Amino acid sequence: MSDPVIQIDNLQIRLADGRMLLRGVSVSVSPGEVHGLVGESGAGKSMIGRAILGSLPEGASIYNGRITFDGQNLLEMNRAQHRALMGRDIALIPQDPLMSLNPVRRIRHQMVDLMRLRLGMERREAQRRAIELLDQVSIHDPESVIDLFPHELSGGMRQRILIAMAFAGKPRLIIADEPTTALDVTVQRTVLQVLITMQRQNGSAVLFITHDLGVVAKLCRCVTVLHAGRVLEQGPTSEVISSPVHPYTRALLAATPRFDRPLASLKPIPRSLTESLWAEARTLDHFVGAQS
Amino acid sequence: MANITHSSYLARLPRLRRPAWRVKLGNRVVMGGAIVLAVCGSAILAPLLTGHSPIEQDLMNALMPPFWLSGGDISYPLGTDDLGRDILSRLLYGARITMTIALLSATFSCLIGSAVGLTAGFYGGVVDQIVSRMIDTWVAFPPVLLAIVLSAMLGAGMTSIVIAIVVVDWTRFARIVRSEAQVQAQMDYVAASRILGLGRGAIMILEVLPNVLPLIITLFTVEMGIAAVVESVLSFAGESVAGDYPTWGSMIAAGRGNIHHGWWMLVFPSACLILTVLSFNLLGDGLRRVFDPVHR
Amino acid sequence: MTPVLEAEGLRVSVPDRRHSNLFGRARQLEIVHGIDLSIAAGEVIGLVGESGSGKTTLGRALIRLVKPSGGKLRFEGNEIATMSEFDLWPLRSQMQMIFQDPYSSLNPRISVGSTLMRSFFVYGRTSSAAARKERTLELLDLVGLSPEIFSRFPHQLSGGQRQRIGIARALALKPKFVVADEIVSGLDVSTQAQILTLLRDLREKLNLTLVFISHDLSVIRVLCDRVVVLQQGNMVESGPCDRVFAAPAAPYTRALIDAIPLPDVDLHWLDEEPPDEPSLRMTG
Repeated sequence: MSDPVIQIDNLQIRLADGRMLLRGVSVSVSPGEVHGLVGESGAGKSMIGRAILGSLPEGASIYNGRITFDGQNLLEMNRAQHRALMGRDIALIPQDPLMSLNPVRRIRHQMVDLMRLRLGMERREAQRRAIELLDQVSIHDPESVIDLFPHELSGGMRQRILIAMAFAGKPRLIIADEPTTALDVTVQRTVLQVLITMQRQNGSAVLFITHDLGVVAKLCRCVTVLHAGRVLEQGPTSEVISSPVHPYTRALLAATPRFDRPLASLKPIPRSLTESLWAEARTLDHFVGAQS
Repeated sequence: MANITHSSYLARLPRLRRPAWRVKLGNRVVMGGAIVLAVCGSAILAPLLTGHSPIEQDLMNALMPPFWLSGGDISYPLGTDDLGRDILSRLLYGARITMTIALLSATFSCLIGSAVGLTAGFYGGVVDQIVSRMIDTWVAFPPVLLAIVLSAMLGAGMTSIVIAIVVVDWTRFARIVRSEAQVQAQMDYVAASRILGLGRGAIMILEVLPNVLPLIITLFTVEMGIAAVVESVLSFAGESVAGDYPTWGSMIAAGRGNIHHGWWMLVFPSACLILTVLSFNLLGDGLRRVFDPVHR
Repeated sequence: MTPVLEAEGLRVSVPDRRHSNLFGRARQLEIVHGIDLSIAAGEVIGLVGESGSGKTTLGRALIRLVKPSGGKLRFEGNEIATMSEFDLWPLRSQMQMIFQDPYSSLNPRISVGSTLMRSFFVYGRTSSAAARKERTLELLDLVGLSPEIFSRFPHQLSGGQRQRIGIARALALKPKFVVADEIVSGLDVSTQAQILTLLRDLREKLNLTLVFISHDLSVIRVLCDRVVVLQQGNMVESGPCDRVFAAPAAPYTRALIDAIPLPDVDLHWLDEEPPDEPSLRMTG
């Protein structure tokens, strides 16, 4: 069994006012594995991605833990070393393409600049590679599309371009932060297909952050279920989703509407469960020495 | 150890203690507000703060420097001008003019401009078209020139200054309030009120106005600063309140000619003006920040 | 029995902001191209479509927030498509809406209690402020909120709580039908489940007639009796939920259903080719 691509150990992230965002999260992703990070809003799943990328929000800081990538602790690297990895070995597919793409520059320039800066390519080579990438993400007529502005494209096309840009450096790890949340369901399927295709071609591992259990079930080999900054359940999707152990995971599945089941089977998550989970999380804070 | 997330060090520092109201209002409001209150206070209390009359001339004591320089006297703390009048008392009484004009002009510009802007922005359609075209043309006139012409036409005196400023500055309020009203009119809670049967006028006052009010208040404070400057420009140009009565602008005008042998005649009124306008802007900026996080 | 609401060939246009002349008059762009709809009392009908389908515009037209550009619209037999605002006014209390965005549908500067009390401003005909407050507290109880919420402001409440206020506001005047525009779309799974169960309970209790707009077929399925599928402003399919989901007639409906990832583990799901339909406009 080979070494994991990335190993997160006991990651704890704290806000300026003492509240904990992540309370000791450990996740391990093998090479070429698609790993789902699932949880509701506020569970802390995006924070993990941001910690890896070194872009924690204002006021949040690492309290404890380590993130090992390639034998090195990402949290202890200096800026230069960290930057060398980003965009090349570790890449991000963000959620909202409209906010992630520069609205006043054509796609061509954005892609080419990315590759020249991050990968040290020559302009000609970068242009060629950009067209090649657009073709790989199933964009018809890439030569025309590449000269468009982001707002001239549909949401799905924009997201596919972001996927293309992420794979430009043949990264070993991709962090996909809710990439299909804002998309129509038919578009989501196409985009996910493109993602899987690229992932298989490149052999990259993917950390897929989402709140959608259905997407996890169809996409991810392994899954980590988060709540209140803690890992509640973790393991192969075939086990965690099909026969969940933790009451929260079970409750989450029971609360997910399904078009093949009537309303009667929909059960909101019991308040007693969420309250006891939060209480547990807070006692953990006292134990660790942080306040809540 | 250079850390990517170097804020972790800062996270462990003890938090400085600040009183709750100060944190809530923010530094800018407190500082700006304090200075504005100080200026107002000294304007109101002028007779108590200085024994001298601002218009009493004493040619024997002309061009006395401030008291900390040689030749100065503590009874004329900031010196005297070329006609022997006490600078400090002229500043204090001049503050009355400045603040009164600033307050009155800002109030009326605000009332007229906000009413017009709110209605135009909310109702849209023909009303908005007319108002917008009107504002566009109005704004094309150079404001200070218009103010000078108006006050020349209407004669000297506080009323005409206020009118001159209001006539020009209402457009500032109108434009900004109009665009905010337009934004608010698109909100779902406006639509919700419509289906609950409220008339458009009622919706404008009850739903949209509370959301535009913070903006209006901020603009109001900024407008006070602008009005103070315009008043000074007008009196600099000789078109302000008539007679001997001191205004900062006329003091600056007189000070120009005496830079070499009475620099204090120019420096102190300029400093007062700058400080006052700065504090209005600071207050306005601070208020904007106070109102913003509430709902966004 | 007269249907509560009936639409025949309903067309709705909105001003096309990209082409407006000097005087700000914009050309009209037709969003909804002729829809037929019939809603009986006590029914819950789902309007489903992806972005650009016109479902929100249609929903707004049904309660005359927007004036239709063509076709007929009948509310309890009365033709309202071309009615003036003045004539519509007495009917407005009978047709209500719950809005999508719980953040922009509540006035941020007014306490939620006051917002609810405003429902009784015009049509309430209650004698005193105390009586209005009493009714408002009853409303809060109806949607499962505690009375102390009354004096809170929207930014102090969670998304689920805000949405409950929106529901309470829509039900205040005991309307004949309610349009719910994507009301669970921005919510967490658990909050969504709570709101859906609330709606189910309210429906039983009050015999609600509901037009439920959503892009999520799973949500539609759990709540609605009938479903109408919209694509680019056209009605592609309509019928009882059981039938449509079991055997969709339109290829687009089929594609929508197939694209939904159910939480059943199947790592080969993405390998299957989706039904290739040229009419699907897969710009995604």
